[in-house]
Amino acid sequence: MNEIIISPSFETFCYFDDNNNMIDITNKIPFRLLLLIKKMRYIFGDNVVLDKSLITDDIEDIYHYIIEKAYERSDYIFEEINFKDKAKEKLLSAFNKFFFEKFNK
Amino acid sequence: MKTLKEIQENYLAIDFFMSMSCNKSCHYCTSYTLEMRNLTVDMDFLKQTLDYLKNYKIRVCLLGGEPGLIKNLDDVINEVKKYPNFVCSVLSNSFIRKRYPHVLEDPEILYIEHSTLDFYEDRIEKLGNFPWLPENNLNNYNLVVKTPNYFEYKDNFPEDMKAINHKNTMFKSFNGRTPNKDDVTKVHTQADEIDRKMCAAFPMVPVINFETRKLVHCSKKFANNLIHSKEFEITQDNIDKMMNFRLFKYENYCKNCMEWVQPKGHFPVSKYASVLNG
Repeated sequence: MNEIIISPSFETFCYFDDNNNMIDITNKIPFRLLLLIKKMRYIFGDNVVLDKSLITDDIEDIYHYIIEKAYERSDYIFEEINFKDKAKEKLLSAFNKFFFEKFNK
Repeated sequence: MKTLKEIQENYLAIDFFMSMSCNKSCHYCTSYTLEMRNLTVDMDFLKQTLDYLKNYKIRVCLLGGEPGLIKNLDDVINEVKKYPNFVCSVLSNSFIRKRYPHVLEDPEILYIEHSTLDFYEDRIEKLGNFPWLPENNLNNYNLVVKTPNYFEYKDNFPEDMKAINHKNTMFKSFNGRTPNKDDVTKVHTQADEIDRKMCAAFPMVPVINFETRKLVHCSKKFANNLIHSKEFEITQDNIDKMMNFRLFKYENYCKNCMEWVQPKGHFPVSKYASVLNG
């Protein structure tokens, strides 16, 4: 799957199969990844997107590290953080890379 | 006057090792020689370096060696202060108080005094004859390294410790670089890999080495260490890369590094936001 649909409440996660059926995969996402997704709202607000096509290779390591640190520590990113659009774009890419690597393991 | 908190949250620090020369020989220091050399800063080199950095919010940490030994320190400070994006910081073993006492009277200069060499169970070994700095509003701070016996001394002499128990004292974890002191693992464990990676991307303090005229990745792996960190030419391109987290990588010496990093992170995420937002 290349894209995961997040419900507005951030409680349900689905994807569309080849027949356009919506498949609920909420229970397949590890708890820590669910926490990370919810935490991403502090950066992206309601614009958290899970989409493999957002992953790019040309972003600086620091963006990956920020996402990994947020995953590792509950007290890292716990309130709204104001990143500008360019930095946000890179963070979203890093977040998607991290998510799909963990999820597909 | 910018407060220490404001500086710590919004500025990236770069050490300016103006000279390696020092009048002291602290066992945990990375960068000193008792030989007196290069005591006059080349102002052209300084101006060029500051010009490369001018677009970034930098805490310029003037040290060495001992900055009080620098003959033209006033000129250096005045040059740094010309730039609105820079905060001028001076780190001394207290020798500044003898030769440049006016530095302590200027609240625009963040003056940090590392005047305690070591704690023992029954005494303190200091680096000069000056008492610890009292609480003040002049941006003057004590920097106290918690050497292995710090905790015992603190418990044995609580009255003495009151002299540094105020807002103008910063405590620093013992780094264990010294070969003749307790192993660092007795003081703290190795930082998590993610913290060492984040530190590698922009260390607590990279260095401008005025002796070799090179940009040095990490101030902790320097002259008096077995392993030295990577060096780069000082160019506008390299400075831009450094300030945008594109120059420094997670190196082999980072993998074994025992420097303490606070578990909450090398820098708070708000500081990364501040820097990455430009």
